[in-house]
Amino acid sequence: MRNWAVDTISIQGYAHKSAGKECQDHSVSWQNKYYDAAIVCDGHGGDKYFRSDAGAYLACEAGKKIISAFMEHFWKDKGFRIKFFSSEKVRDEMFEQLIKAIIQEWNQSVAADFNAWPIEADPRFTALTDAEKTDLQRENSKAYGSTFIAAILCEGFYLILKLGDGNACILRDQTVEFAEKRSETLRDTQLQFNLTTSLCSSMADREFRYAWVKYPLNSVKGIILTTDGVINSYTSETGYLRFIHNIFSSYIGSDIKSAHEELENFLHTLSEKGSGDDLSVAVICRRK
Amino acid sequence: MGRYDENIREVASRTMVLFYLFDKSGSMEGTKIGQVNYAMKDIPKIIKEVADGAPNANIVVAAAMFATDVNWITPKPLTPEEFIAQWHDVQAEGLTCLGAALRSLNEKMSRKAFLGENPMGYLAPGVIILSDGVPTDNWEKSLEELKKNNWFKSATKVAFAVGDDADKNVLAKICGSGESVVSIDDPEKIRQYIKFVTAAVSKTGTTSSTGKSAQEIVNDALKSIDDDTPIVVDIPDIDDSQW
Repeated sequence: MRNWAVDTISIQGYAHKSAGKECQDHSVSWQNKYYDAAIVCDGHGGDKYFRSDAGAYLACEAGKKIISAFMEHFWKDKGFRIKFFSSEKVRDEMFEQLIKAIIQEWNQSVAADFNAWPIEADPRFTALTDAEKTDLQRENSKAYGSTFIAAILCEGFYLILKLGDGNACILRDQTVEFAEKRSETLRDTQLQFNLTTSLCSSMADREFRYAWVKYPLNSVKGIILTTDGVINSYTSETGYLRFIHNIFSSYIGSDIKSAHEELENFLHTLSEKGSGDDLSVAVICRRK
Repeated sequence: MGRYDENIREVASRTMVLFYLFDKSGSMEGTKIGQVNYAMKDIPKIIKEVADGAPNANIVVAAAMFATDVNWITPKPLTPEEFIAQWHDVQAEGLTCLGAALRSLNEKMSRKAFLGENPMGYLAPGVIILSDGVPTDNWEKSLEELKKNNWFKSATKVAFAVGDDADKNVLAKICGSGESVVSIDDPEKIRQYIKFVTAAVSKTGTTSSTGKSAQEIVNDALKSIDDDTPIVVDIPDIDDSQW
């Protein structure tokens, strides 16, 4: 019997509260008897991305819909599973299709939102410069720009999908490590100088990173995803990893409701003392 | 005691390094260098006020004076408090070796030098340059190399051209645009301009984006300067009585 817990928290950052701006992070988690999954999305800051809160929400919804369909297919179709495990090349093709489907779903959701509420009618659009308006009229989806990180954990393997900044951490035995430690494919050299890759990029499918990792049963105890405001609050990666370890301990050792409340309260303090950014944390962990 | 109490102790912010590159050639003698010396004593207070208003940022200062040689007053980027302890008034003398200064800036804007000890990384730096003359060495080659530096590319840059002899075209090429060059005709105003630009660059570089780049925001602020009215430094508790 699987005994895993999933949870997510997204809070409005201290800087956004002070400026009267909405929370531009969103997160979602779900589970069934075969797998647990979570997604965190961080809508871009900046006036030009004035619908990034909607963009992050739609990204979570699109990701959940497409990943759920993929996983259902995986568990119900034996032929699909055999094909999946047959070679790395086939798996890579499947993951690339999965990624393209998420991007397409997000773009369709964004287009529907845009058609229901054209950006030209939005007062935040009229406040932009002419150059920014022209840019957005050419590519409406930029107003909705968001990052995307998803984790799917099954007995024996996990999958991380990542576009843009933010972090995925794995609890392996008693040690927390960055997912990149064992999965070089997740590293992205473009993420520096405050730049990030995004769902609104025309090259999003090529900019997505993913890692599929097999693990010996019981060796992986959980996955935590965070948007970049969390690690940016820390002076060192060690401090950040200690915090992640503490979250795991809380969710594994306490009841979920208490763990959730305690973490949510702390995240407000963390944003105020740290990055000032909106913060999201998604937790998947094996319960005792 | 809460579960996460220990996790707040290691919280801190990313760092912005504010680079000053000031001319102390012989032609700066008198009021000009006096105003620079005077202004630099105000800088820590301004930076501290900006940092207090930006919970997600530390601001540190790296300052060099150039003439025939380049002299870094700060052996490494310093906090405002460390900077005031390190600062000593400088004397004007020598040539205007701007090329050497740019070369040295390029060396310092590196993970091996001034941008290497913060494991959380840095915000885009600020670069504030002041000169009153025409470069006396090969500045083009140094600038060409400096422009390949990613830190410099991402930096918010402002240059002061003091007096009629300053080469505004050279300074515009360094900053990437004439909009980032401030002409100072009255040397008595140097201190106030330095304070204003320090506040604008550090505040813009450490607060959330408004959709424009930090450079565009600072350029807009520079356009608002009216030479006939006192510059208002929008930071509390700054004594502007010396204007």
